[in-house]
Amino acid sequence: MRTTAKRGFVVLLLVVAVTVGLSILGIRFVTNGEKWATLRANEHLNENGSFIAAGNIVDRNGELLAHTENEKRIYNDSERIRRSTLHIVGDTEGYISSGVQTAYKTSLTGYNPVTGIYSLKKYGRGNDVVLTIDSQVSAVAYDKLDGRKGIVAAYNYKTGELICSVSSPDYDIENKPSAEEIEKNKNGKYEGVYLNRLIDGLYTPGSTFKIITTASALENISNINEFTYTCKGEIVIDGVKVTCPRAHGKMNFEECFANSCNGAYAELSKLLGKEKLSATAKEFGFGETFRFGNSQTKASVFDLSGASVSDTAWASVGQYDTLVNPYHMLTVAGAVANNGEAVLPYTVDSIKTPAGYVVEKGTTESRTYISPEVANQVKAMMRNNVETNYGDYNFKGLSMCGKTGTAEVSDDKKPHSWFVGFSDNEKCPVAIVVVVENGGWGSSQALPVASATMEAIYKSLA
Amino acid sequence: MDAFITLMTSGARYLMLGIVLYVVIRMLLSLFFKKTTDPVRGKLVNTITDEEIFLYDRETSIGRNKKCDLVLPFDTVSRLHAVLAYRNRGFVIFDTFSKSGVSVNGEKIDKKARIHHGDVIDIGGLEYTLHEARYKFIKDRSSLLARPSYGIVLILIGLFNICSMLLNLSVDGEIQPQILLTYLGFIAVQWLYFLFATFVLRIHNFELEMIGFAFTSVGLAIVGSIYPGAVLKQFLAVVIGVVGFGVMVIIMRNIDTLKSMRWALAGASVLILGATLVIAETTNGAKNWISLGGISIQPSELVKIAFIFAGAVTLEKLQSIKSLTLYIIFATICVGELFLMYDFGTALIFFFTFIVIAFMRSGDVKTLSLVCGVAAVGAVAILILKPYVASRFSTYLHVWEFMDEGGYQQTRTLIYSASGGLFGLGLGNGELRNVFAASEDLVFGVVCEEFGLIMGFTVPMVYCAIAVWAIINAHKTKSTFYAIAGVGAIAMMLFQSMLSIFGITDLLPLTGVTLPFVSKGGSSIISCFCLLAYIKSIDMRTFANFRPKLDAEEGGEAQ
Repeated sequence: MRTTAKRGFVVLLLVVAVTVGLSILGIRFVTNGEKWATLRANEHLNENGSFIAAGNIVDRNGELLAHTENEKRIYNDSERIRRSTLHIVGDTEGYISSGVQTAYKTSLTGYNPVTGIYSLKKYGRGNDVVLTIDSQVSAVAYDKLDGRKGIVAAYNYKTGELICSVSSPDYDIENKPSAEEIEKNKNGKYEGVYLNRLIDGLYTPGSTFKIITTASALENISNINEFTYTCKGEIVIDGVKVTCPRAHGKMNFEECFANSCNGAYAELSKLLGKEKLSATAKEFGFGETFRFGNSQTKASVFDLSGASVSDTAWASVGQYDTLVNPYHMLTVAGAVANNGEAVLPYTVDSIKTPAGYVVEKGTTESRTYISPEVANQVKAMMRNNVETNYGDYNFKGLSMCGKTGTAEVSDDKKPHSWFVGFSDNEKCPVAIVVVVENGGWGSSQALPVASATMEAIYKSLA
Repeated sequence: MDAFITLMTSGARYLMLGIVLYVVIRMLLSLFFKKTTDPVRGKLVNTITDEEIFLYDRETSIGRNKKCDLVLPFDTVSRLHAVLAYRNRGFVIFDTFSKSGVSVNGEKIDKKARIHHGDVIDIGGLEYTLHEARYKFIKDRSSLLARPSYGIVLILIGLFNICSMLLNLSVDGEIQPQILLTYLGFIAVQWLYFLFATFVLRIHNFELEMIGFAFTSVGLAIVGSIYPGAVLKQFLAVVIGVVGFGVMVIIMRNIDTLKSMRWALAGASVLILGATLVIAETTNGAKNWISLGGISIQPSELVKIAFIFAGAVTLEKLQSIKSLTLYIIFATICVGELFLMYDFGTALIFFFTFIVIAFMRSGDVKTLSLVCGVAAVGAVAILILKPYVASRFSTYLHVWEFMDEGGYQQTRTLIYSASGGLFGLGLGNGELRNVFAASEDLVFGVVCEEFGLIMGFTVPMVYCAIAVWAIINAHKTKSTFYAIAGVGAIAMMLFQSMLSIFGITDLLPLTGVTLPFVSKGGSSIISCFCLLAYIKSIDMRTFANFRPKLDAEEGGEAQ
């Protein structure tokens, strides 16, 4: 009897096997539960492959940008607002991968390991999102961009709140063009339409790069304020011509920057040498990717490892192989404005449950690019640019500082038109970057967009 | 009405989970810490040395073999000489084909003899006097817990079913009468069984039944929610199951009647499975369903009951048979027939149960290793010869790569189980219910999604706990028959739960197995209740108040 009964202990092996299996399963639910529950195959969250579970998405002023009604996603009534916020809000199919509706999908479902997606079932919607974006400002920028490809982005350089980010080309999400149509025009009017150029764009910076070269000169050349240069329209460096649009004549350092004289910067690049210029670019965050919410930016490129003296001269004026990401350029402007410290832009202010409990708060970090002294000298020179060159009438009341750029891209295309700047007005601590792709002159194409956008921001903050 | 439903779904999920947790935990505590009395039925006293041997167990094997309960290391004693059993309130000695035989009061016995207080037994020249205990109980282990109030437990389970009823009551605004009938009927069945068992069978322990009722309630809630039209059928199967449980308990009370039924049931198992093989039509790739007068049944489920019965034996029989050969042949035929039906899940369950029972009977590791080896070779051969069988396993561990093909059921189970969180989305709020075989093979996922992961994990954990309880209490039963049947039955249920849960969560490569008590399926629920009777036979309280009529041969000495 005892022997037979004792043999029953063999079943303990099965008990152990089941216990181990259940433990593995339990651990998997803890570690993978969120990933599994938020998959596109989950029909609690998706309808015909579209993510419908997100709650309300509102801008900084409470304007409703997107919400779900009867298992369908509804966007803002205004087409201008829908288009101007397209890349920030994103789509429900996941094509715009950096859009909030895709990049923050997990947070938007309201999933948590304790109650699963119960709050979604209870309230009929997932978590709500408050953005830092101002949709009215975005619409103004969108109008001003007027269908041209490019990016308009502005942010508060003290807090990091992204106020406006309009990426073009775009489409109206309520009347989305067919996949075939987008495919057919993927090199034309829908070129990179799913990309948010703020983080995915990489452009030749042209003269806006002179901000970095200027900072490098201030850091490395001791008697830079005694520097003078006489521009004759061109200069030969190492057998290669570096040209200016016109002969600027004799200038001091500040005037060289204000006139954006290529010859003068070519001369400076020779004084600096490529190591020092590269070192400054590195300090400014070239070669790094930045975290933008749950997405990553492209890294700006400044690589002089194989560059000749003339290549370095061209690189110092933002040509050669130099490429800049607009998000990065925004932080450069922010750093100059903010004593050398770049507060990184973010756009998700908070994510709340339908009951109002905040589950995620937008965070930022800051980076020190340059010393306050250098920053303030560059700032003064950028202020001088606007005062003497671009005109304060374009930025009334803003104490605007700025630099335009006209970036040559290839022989058969018009240059990219840039404006990088910021307001030095305490009441409007905002930096802006505008790129109009193949727009032409920076001062004639990008500047008016920046002017109108800054005006709208100034009004909204007043 | 909408507001009421909202309140019900949000509140009911906690209430329903709470009820099940309370019931199973209270019942398990009661099982493990029950107030037990270990009776010593008597003692043997050596007539020369006055050595005393207390008879703690209901069956005591005697022989030279070290595995015997009473080892007599003398050449005159056979290795497996005799079995002394306490049957029907008196001692019986069985001669298990010993060489020198067994004598009682100097007279050689033929196979078995009733012995009484003061009788002298001669085993291989050693003489013992039997002393029957004058007192019944010498040890009284006090319980940590008072006996549970089964009335309250039944009221709670009733409340669970009322919740199910209210949640499932209307479909498109129409009240469903079969829903009313099912849940109220189920409550009535529980009470009727409780009263019948208390007053007629004089059973006073109901832990296993209450756990069975609680899990059945979970299953019925899901069936009523997904298939309101099929719920009455499921309920009728539950009624048959509960009746079957009662009948099994009654049959098993009398150990003497069991022995004669084993061969009949073994033959019936082989024949029923054989007949199924001939007349069944292929459903979902397996040939395991037959239709009798409009009712579909799955004979393999019912054969499970007979399979265990045929494998369990009393100690004197066990000691007389000595060889496993016949049992191996029987099991091979059954498993083979299931294989031919392509019902691999059930075949595996039968095979595993066979291994457990055969091991308990013989302890013969060598033979059983050989059997497992042959089975493994056979399984590999089939996978090679019939590649489409192997294709069933192709997505194993790769379900996420085949989300919309072979891994559909598994990935959806994981997705929706995770969606439910710990407390579930509430009955009726799930999505997994729309996937094929949701209330059968995938029922673990449906439970997790709608009742929560806690509820889902509770089911297999409770089976584990019952298995542990059965193992440590197996030696206290009246006979090895109950020990083998009870441990075999819970092993079968636990193994089946493992295949079911781990199969659909991609921990094991097999799907298509139901979860005991919870899955939809009439044959399955009947079989579960009947298997539960075996497990209950391990509980020494089950037959404690059974007073068999003593026949003339055994003397009318009823107390």
